[in-house]
Amino acid sequence: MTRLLHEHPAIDVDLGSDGEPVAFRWNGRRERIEVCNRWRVEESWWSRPIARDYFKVAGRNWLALLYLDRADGTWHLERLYD
Amino acid sequence: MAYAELHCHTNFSFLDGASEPDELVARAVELGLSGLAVTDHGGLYGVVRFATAAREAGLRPVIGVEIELADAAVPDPAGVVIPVGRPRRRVGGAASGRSPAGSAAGAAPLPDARRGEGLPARPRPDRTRLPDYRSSVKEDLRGVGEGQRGPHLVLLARNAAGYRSLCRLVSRANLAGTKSMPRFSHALLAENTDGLVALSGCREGEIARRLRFGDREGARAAAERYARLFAGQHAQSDSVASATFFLELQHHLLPDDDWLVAETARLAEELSLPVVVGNDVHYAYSEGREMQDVLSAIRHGRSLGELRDLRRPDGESFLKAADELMALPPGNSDADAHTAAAWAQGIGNAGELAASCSVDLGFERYRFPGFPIPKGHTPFSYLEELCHEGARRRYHPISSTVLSQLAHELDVIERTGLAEFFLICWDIMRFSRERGIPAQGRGSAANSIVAYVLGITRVDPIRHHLLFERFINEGRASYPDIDIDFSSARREEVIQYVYSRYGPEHTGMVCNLVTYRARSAVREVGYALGFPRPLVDRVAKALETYDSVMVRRDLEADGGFGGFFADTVDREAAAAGASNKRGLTDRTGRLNHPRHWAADDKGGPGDSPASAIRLAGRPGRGSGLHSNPAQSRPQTLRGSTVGMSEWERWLAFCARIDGFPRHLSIHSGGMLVTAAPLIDIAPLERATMADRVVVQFDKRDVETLKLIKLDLLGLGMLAAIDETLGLIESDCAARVDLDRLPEDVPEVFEMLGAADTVGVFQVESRAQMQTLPKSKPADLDDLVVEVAIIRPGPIQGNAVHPYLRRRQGLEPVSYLHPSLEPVLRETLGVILYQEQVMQIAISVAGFSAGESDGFRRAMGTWRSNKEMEKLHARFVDGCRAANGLTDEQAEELFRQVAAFASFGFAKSHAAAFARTAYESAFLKLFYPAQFTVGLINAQPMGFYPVEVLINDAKRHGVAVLQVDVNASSYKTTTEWVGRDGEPGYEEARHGQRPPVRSSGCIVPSAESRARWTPESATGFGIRLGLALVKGIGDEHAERLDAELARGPYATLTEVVTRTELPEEVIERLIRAGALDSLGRPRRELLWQLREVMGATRGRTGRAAGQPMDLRLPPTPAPELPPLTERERLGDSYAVLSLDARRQVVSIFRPALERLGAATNASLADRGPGPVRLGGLVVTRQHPMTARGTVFLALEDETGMVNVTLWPDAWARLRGVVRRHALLYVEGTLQREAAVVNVIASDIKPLPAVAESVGGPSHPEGVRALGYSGMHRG
Repeated sequence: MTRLLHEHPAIDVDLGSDGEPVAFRWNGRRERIEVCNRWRVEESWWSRPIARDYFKVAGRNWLALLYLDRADGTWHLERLYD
Repeated sequence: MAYAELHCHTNFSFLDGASEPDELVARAVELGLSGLAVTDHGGLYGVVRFATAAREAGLRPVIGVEIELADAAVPDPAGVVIPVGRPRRRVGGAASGRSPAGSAAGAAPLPDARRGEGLPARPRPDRTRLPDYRSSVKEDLRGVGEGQRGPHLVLLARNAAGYRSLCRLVSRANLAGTKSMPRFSHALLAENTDGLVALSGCREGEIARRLRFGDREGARAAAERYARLFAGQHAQSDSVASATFFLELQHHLLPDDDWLVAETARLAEELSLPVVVGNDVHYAYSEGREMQDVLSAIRHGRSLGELRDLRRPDGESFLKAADELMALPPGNSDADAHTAAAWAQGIGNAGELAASCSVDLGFERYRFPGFPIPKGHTPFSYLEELCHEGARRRYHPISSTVLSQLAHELDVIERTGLAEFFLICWDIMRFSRERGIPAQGRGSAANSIVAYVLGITRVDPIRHHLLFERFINEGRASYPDIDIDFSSARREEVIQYVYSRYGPEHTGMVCNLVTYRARSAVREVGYALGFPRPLVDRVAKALETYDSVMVRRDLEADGGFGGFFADTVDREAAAAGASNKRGLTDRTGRLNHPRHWAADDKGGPGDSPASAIRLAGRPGRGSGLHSNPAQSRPQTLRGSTVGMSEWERWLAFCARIDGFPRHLSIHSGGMLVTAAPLIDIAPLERATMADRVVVQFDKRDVETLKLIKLDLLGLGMLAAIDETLGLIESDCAARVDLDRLPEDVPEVFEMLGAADTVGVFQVESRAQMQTLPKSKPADLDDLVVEVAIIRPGPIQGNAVHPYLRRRQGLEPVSYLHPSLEPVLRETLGVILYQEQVMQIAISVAGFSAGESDGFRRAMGTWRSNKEMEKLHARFVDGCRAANGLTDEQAEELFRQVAAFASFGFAKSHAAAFARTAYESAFLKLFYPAQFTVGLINAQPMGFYPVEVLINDAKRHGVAVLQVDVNASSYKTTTEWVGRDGEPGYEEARHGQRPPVRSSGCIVPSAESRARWTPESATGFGIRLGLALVKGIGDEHAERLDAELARGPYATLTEVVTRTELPEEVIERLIRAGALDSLGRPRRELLWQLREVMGATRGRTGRAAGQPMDLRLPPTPAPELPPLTERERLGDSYAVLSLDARRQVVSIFRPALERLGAATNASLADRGPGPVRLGGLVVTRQHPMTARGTVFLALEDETGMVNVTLWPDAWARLRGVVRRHALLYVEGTLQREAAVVNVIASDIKPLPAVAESVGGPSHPEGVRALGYSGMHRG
């Protein structure tokens, strides 16, 4: 079951030495994670620019899709797979 | 680590590459790359430019191409590699099969009988077409993504053989494919692998496609097949320097890139194939992806928002350095060891592979096709013989000057090995003389006595003191060009001759690169950015400029759009004022293009409904979306456009796309003739014109490659003169031999001095007419100056006014420095000729002859600023050292030379043109009817529309007869009307009022008429031809002329059935009065037309020309009111853009008189002061050199006058002037010598003004009139 989070809440992310996330905190829980895949999205620069680095990550309980908003450097949670 | 990018697209990938070769080269150097490849799609368009730029920058260039294959390497039953089911849409009719026999016969080898005359032995005389030729089919690829097309493969040339293979491959694929859609098959590839290195390509390569589909076995088989294919006889080698097939690793941060790189690396290891890392570069900087997306949108004919997956999904295809690539995931520590090793290896291999590639693009030794010569001769001895023969014809007697000049030139020609080149040109001239095709050399070739005695040029270099070194000198790095003008009507015959003479394998047309200019940029970028079409059209139409960088200036000036740039207008104006103070040119004489704007305005409210709707519909526009201050300072030419307003972004992309190649067309006349088969030297492709093949290089490239190019140009004036001479012969039974025409007919110069020059070659423009009365040329030498002086060069170099004042004795002749006197004496101290630039470089700045030509050329082409600066320093130092000029003098001299050189004229060229100008002036003076007919039939050409030509003829007393189906043939002709005072003269003129002859019209005296023309010459008028009627074209010519010869038309039905013209064209004929000779009123004919058309529908063709058996006579028309004169005139202008009987302004004359307006003819006798005028705009000019001033040529029934709008007046009156052709002008009359000028202070639409004083209102059709001439000049 997938939960799509409409408002893409901001999350705290711990970064490893190579700049990739190793853990994130959401809803009062922190979980260590491993990156499964990553990609970059640059979209609609002519109207509402989107520039994000996506990470598909897996932890002990969570399988999640996070992204780094490259415009302002904040992390967001977009999708959570139960 | 030395890294070289081996997969890189420039903007010569045509709308799939957002950086120019130069920009990529510069960036590669900045990033420390060891080499860079150019791999554009399916062609080698950019390689010459790229290789030149790379070599200059010290970067190793690798020449390559990315091809799209039409079939798979190994069987592909699943349709993984070659997508199945893509709808193949074709545009236009599919031309199939061979072309008609006619063209094949035209190119067939000449009969044996002519072989002995020195025709070259062609290597494959049986071949009339290039191998693999197929007729052209166009395919519409808009909306078709890369994934739906064939698989990609990158090919690089390792050596000269590799370059040859690329040329052959590209040429054959292009000839086998369709225009802009070459067809590369594996069979073709297999034949041309010599010297090539292949890379497996991007994710759309066959191997990557198979891997992504999960077809590992297929991928493996394909890789093995490619490896075998390119290895040839040799086994695939382990060393990078000799390996011929590489698997390409790319990583663009896409979701499956990690996996794809790992899989490809694994495959490479299994097969022991080397890998190479590339980035599939499409732009130099990361911001380039925006331009890339805009180009994709243009290519697919969609807006950005509609592009979806047609856009490249990543923004990572920019040029990256080795460490940036190493930092990508496969190079990271957490990638698996195999992949990481392969990635590092691939980066190293790229540098090594580039280092092993070396291609030299010098083709000097392939220059000449081998001109066959009689036994016992060398090309040079044969040329020598021809020259002496020619000299005996041209010179009586042959003076020692002639002999020594000839000997000197022949000596240089022998040492430079150019004898064959002259023989080729001589042969072409011989051919055109035999066929009676008017031809004459122009340009620098006229400096040569060899060219003169061979009959290539018509200008005697001894008589005009020309400088041979301007044409050829031994120090020159490039090769001379001979430009030959042919009658525009018959140039094609000459081109066909060259093709058949040297064979299609050795002959090709040089291409012309069509690049973005203001209008195309505004339109296509506008559509791509999603602006509504009507708005884009309006903006495009508001443009005056051709330069897409200048779009902003035009839109700001236009009332309708100025509001969008309200913030910048003031600042820009201030800046413009500052730059005006500095002059229009900068220190080096270059035009001050405001290429960099501060562009931080926010846009503003517009006043046009379309714009208002547009902007109202976008509430989010500019609303704090982009709060990052770094992004709110956009640069116009580079950098992201994020954060700009829509309008700013539009302008920014227009400026960026300026000069981007869009497609190829045929160069106006450049022909390449080579010794080696052309297909080995240059890539060929088909042109839009059937059976025509062009080289993918343009004339600059060809010059860089040191190949020989002949420029065979079409010149309308030669066609016009040819027709004039023919008419004189048939009308008056007299032959005018222009070669024997004396150079000193005084009345010709009187006419030139009076600026009575409408239609005269080269001196008919507004600017010429403004100077002729001041310079008053008195002989042919003066005319040479006149032709050379009214050019942007001398105007910018500030040469015109000093020359004119000195010519009129208003100021003394002076020189910047005494050392200039010998060089500039003939032009009264001002620089006019390119030859003078060279002489200044030689005698004042101490350059050698060879260097001086290099100097002149560098000044003219503006290759790079760095180069300019070097020459600048050298010149200034030279002036000081050699002749003791002061710093200021040297700088000023350099500025003058530089400003001039970029547009200058060769004196030889001016001399050649002046001769033609003189001849055309002679014909206009003594045979005005025949000459005007010649001009009309050679349209489009010259400066003025047909209306001006016939009005001018009328003012010179020539009767103009209206279009009449019972008298007009297809073309305009002369018609006997009788001489003035003879019985029947008045009737023959069809009741025309006697012409108003303005005082500026020069008419020859009776004595000189008696001397130069037969008596009958004055008895001819002009019968306008049916071709002037819109909708009647060449396809109707034969039928119309045949029917006219068969006998008169008596009824409308006959006209309909015999001419087979469509209804709307017949309607136009009626409205133009061409059916008046049927004796029925026009309204009645219009009434009956539909009915007659209905009755004859389906019968035309079969029953054409047969007596009609209509069951019912046409219904008699009811009483219809007769046409008023205003309606008649409006109709005539609407259909023909002119009227034979009267000029349109005459119907406003009563109103104009009530307003106190003067006629144009009366201005000549009027003193300076306020004046009012009414007239029709025939030309409008916005010259770059005039700093925003606009000139209108305003014609009324009595003559033409020049109206000047200073920049402030133009800003105010632009709306009126752009939208109306009939104008009422209030202004001030200025006189300078005999030159009259009206400075406009207010302009209104004439019909509205006339109505206000009770005159005629807008006649129907007048709206459309005159616009034909509005965008000329």
